[in-house]
Amino acid sequence: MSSLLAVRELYVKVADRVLVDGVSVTVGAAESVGLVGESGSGKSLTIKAAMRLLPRGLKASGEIVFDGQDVLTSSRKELARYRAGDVGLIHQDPRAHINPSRTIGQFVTEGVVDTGQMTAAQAREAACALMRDVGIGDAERRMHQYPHQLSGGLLQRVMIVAALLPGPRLIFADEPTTALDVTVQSEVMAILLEQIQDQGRSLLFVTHDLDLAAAVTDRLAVMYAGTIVETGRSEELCARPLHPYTAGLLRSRPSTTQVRRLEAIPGRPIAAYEVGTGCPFSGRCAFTEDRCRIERPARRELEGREVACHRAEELRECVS
Amino acid sequence: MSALPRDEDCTVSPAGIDGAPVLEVRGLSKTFPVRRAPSHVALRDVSFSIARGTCLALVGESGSGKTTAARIIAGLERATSGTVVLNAARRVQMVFQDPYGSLDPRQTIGAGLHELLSLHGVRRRERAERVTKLLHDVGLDERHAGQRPKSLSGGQRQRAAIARALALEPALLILDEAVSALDVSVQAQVLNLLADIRERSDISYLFVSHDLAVVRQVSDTCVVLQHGRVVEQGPTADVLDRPEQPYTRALIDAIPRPGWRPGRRTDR
Amino acid sequence: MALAWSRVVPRAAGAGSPLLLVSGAAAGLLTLLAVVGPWLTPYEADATDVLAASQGPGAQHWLGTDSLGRDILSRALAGARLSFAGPALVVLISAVLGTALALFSAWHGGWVDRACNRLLNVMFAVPGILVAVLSSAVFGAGFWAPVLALGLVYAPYMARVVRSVAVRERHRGYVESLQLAGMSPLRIGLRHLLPNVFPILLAQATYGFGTALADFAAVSFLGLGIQPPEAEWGVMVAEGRSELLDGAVQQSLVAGTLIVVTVVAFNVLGAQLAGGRR
Repeated sequence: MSSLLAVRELYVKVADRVLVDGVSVTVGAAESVGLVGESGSGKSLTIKAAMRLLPRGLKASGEIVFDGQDVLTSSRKELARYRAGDVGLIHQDPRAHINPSRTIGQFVTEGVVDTGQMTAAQAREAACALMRDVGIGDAERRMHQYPHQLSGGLLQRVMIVAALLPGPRLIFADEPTTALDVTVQSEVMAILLEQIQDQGRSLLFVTHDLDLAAAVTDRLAVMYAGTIVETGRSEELCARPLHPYTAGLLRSRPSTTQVRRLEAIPGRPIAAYEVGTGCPFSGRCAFTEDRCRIERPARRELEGREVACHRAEELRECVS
Repeated sequence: MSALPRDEDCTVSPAGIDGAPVLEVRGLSKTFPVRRAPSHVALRDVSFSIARGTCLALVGESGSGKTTAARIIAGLERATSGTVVLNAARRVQMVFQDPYGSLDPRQTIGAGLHELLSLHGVRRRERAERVTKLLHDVGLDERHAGQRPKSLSGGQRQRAAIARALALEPALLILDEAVSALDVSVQAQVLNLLADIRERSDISYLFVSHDLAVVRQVSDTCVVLQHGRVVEQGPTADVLDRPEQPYTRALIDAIPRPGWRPGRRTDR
Repeated sequence: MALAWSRVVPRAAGAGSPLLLVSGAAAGLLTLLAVVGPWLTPYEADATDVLAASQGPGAQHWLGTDSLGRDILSRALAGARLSFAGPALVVLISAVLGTALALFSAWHGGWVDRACNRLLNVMFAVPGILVAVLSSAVFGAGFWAPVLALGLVYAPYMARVVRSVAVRERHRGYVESLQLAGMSPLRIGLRHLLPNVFPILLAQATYGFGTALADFAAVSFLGLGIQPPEAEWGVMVAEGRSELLDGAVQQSLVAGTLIVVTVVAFNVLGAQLAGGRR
């Protein structure tokens, strides 16, 4: 299967500090992929790099290929077309990313009108239709309202509409529901999935919530300290993690149905530049041996999945 | 008993009666005036009590009034009406959500603890020993005593904030979304720490959270709030396993777990 | 002041802005001059020499002499101390008043805060120089009348800036937990809030110093502040005014330049300190 987006050996650095340390991940056509990790894992930077939206001072190297074209080397014009039409981005905090002094209608339609994809009238009509699809009642009235008049959940739906309106083939979603209440999260995710699956779009979903990611994606990539430590089909990965970090994450999370002492991972999540020569997780792993501290494990195939752990085979039984 | 005065019809009695609940809240209401608009009712007639040595969770979504209730109980906010009775000689302490705001950025962890202990009349000779023990109790050590918050991680800051709260040996510790901003792996450490502290003392917790999985983990009883009203309350296991109210059901159903699919609410 | 000097200054300088370094160096040098200047004078500041009156710059008198034959360099150096002492006191008075009001207002919030804000807005409407002139007219010209008047007038500017930071800090967890620990509001304010608003207070005080120096010199220039024959920059500009007609620009020029350079140095430094904090 040829992939729609292929990130190969992506590095993101600020001065001489490594923040993303050789990430490779692909998203196929009509596929949903989750990028899961804790703070400092580099998950958000990976999609920022894929949109070429890194903050000033951060340098990306490696390859990010969208439909045969390298995003990192594309010209201004190509980049503008890519951002405006090929991909859409949904941020964590809609209130911070929607201009508070412009109406919802202006925010939603300005992209497609600006690039000449639609006339203003067409855009308004399409936007209203899409707003109804995502469950925003009285779309006409909402178009004339300002962001402060809408709740966080509604505003995130507006953000989804804005991202979908140009008909992108790939949606980047960066913690789109983290700021929302759980019931609203469930609703917003359902709407997002509906829109993506119905139209055969692809999704790269960034989150810290392994359970949420597993529920809404086909494949998962678990990130730690700027690298991907494990990838695999979502259900398999959660049901039977191969990497001690993935297993640790799953065990750290309390359950709503039973109480047991949590098996916390000692220490704190680290950033890529804090990693020594060995395995990034060796400082917190219960199964660390000498080799782990010295030699960095490469990602390799195991049981049709990929895992970056020296001891993955021997630990298969005790990890999960 | 509290740092702020309360309205006359809202009393706090410091009498320590064994067997009585450590905290009794009766008919608590709170209205915030809003300029040029109808006033906002944050709490309506909320009542519950916390048995000594147990943990009660206040659960709800944003705007449910759970934080307002906690702040009134702590004495940081006045109730419009209702009573808060603390049946203990020792005061209430609180740990806040934001690990970056819960410590004075210009004070080392050790100096802060010394200051609190001296404020409460602990002699200079005993203080150093107490500081060491407090740090140890929350999983920090002497190295952290000389550090300022800036050089600590989020988890370490929350540990330090818990040490500060414990320094005054409160009868009731209020934890307002105290683990919500932490990474999952660190959150588990702090939840275990809270369980350990409870095991070795007679402290009671009021645990404010939106996260039902965390609530299940730490609390004995829980109170579900919606728009400032108590929707349901009882032993946590009963409420979460057999919710009686559709709102509680909806909250539980919305939590991602293996095999879960996000769904649109039908009632809206 | 073990408070924050050590940490504020290096942190701002760490931003490495050349403007900060230049303005900081200039302000530091001028302050040093104000402290030691009176001991560096080549001549007595009020020693007249009628034979050498109204000279231009030369080997004997580097910056020339005034119409009474006094050495302008000596008078400028000697006058630096008075020129600085006035605004320094203004800043001190306004910082104490302003910070007290700001912390009080931020601590109580609600109607207290709103009332304080109203008060500040009323005070903003009053031009500082006018109050200084009026107070000199009522209490007599001299050093103290304008200093006290300007100190009062500058307080709202301090209060507004400090309050904005104090309000933010007020509801941080660390302040509220100290409150729960039973610490008195006064002690929380002095031991915890003050150190945390200190960087912005310092920036505003630095900025205010430059402005106060100009106002104070203006009052003296108008003959209502420092009185001749005392050396002070505003007085020097005023005295040089009559000499201008005779073509002797040196006294007004030297004093005027010193005022402008000092005001600019402190204003820029203040703005840099405020900007470097974020």
